[in-house]
Amino acid sequence: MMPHPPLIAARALSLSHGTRTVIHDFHATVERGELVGITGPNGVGKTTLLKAFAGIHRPSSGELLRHPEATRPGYVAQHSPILRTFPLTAAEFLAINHPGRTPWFGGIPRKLHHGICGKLDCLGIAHLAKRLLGTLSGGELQRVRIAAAMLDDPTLILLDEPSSHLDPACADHLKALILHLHTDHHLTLVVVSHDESFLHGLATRRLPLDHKLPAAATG
Amino acid sequence: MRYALISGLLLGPTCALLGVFVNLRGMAFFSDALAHSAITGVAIGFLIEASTGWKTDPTYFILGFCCLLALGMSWLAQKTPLSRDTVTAFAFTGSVALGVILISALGKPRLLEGLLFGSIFSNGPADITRQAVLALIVAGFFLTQLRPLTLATLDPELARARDFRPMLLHYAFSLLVAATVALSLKMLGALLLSALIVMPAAAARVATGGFRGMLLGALLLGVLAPPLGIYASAAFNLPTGPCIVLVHVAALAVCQMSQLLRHRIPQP
Repeated sequence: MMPHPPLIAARALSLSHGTRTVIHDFHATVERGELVGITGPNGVGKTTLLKAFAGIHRPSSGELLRHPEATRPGYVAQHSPILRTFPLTAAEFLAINHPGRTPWFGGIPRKLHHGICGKLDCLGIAHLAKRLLGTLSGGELQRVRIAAAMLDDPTLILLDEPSSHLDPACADHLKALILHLHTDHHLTLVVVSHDESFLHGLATRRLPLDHKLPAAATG
Repeated sequence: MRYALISGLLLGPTCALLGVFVNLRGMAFFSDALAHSAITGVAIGFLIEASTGWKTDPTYFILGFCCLLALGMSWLAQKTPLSRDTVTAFAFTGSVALGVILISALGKPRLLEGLLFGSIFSNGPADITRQAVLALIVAGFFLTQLRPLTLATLDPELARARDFRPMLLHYAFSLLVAATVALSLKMLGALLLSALIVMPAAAARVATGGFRGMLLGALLLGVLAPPLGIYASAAFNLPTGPCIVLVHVAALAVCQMSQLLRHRIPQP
């Protein structure tokens, strides 16, 4: 039987911000069914690498091959303070994140109602649908953001520092949710975290990034 | 009077609609700077007229200058490490200084008063046509781009992950604000114009708390405030622009008070 091709394959990948190269000659793969933890100190390029996996940061050189099933991964960006002040409900947040081209003028369009409520229900947060984002706890907000990333039923989900701004109890709940998505929903996940303890018992493989050894990251 | 009312009914909701995202994107100072920089647009128009003899409606110079300044400010804020506020302050003061010097050099200091306070009654058929075209463009932009614009305002990274182009949306939105400021200048003048943009959305947000309420409430206030202000101005023989602004101030005060009372009085 032919082995499954990797969902993501980076070969001699370099990533830059303007003239500054943050990742140089990087080789790695993300296989189907893995839960990969990208670790490393601040400024090493973890977020940039995840953005490249998500298709929103273009490589400056090298190859980044994405399997057709991983061309549109679910992406949960780093904590953004504006979420707390934006006058949107959790369900409206999902509505504007919806992959379709349904027009939206506030509220939840009837056409999207079923899909949005289904995703919120799937993560056990249907009761938060009408709550404004600013009134949610850190853990609740992260669940809503993950529900938004799952809207088009992706095979791959990318999470950038999901436990930052969470207290230890909330971080544990989030860890349980990520494990649930991995084991019960059979999703492949890539989690960026500078917090080693968060990845402990979570990641099936680690991809350490280092200032000194930017290329040695095959885990 | 008829043109003043039509102008108010076209520009009130247009400004209010843009104001929702001016508020959410923290661009109130940006719209204020554009209104003040219009002085330079007019001055450049007169300078060209004086040196070449080419006479044209100064509104086009205001429109051109405001659009260029909006693009310049957005570009600088993106390409330099300076904050958006700093870039705006620098563009604001620089363009006003240049405008005042040009107007003094041209010997037209009285022009400044008209630009600073405006007069809605000076609108003519050509102004109404331009304002109607603008209102249609803004309405079309919101009908087609509301979702991408909201997502890009909330999180540009997420917008990019959904194949939207947040920077392009930002430039398009900035241009619409600039065009609206330029074509609304006759209504309220440079000093008061940003009230027409910022206040309806602010009042609606205080009153409703949610996005849809903010959108609809701002539109409603945008439609109601200009006719009410014009009526009050005619009834009490007061300047029209300040009357329109005071209607918005009163609406904001009422919304804020009702919110405070709602939180004070225990719900049954």
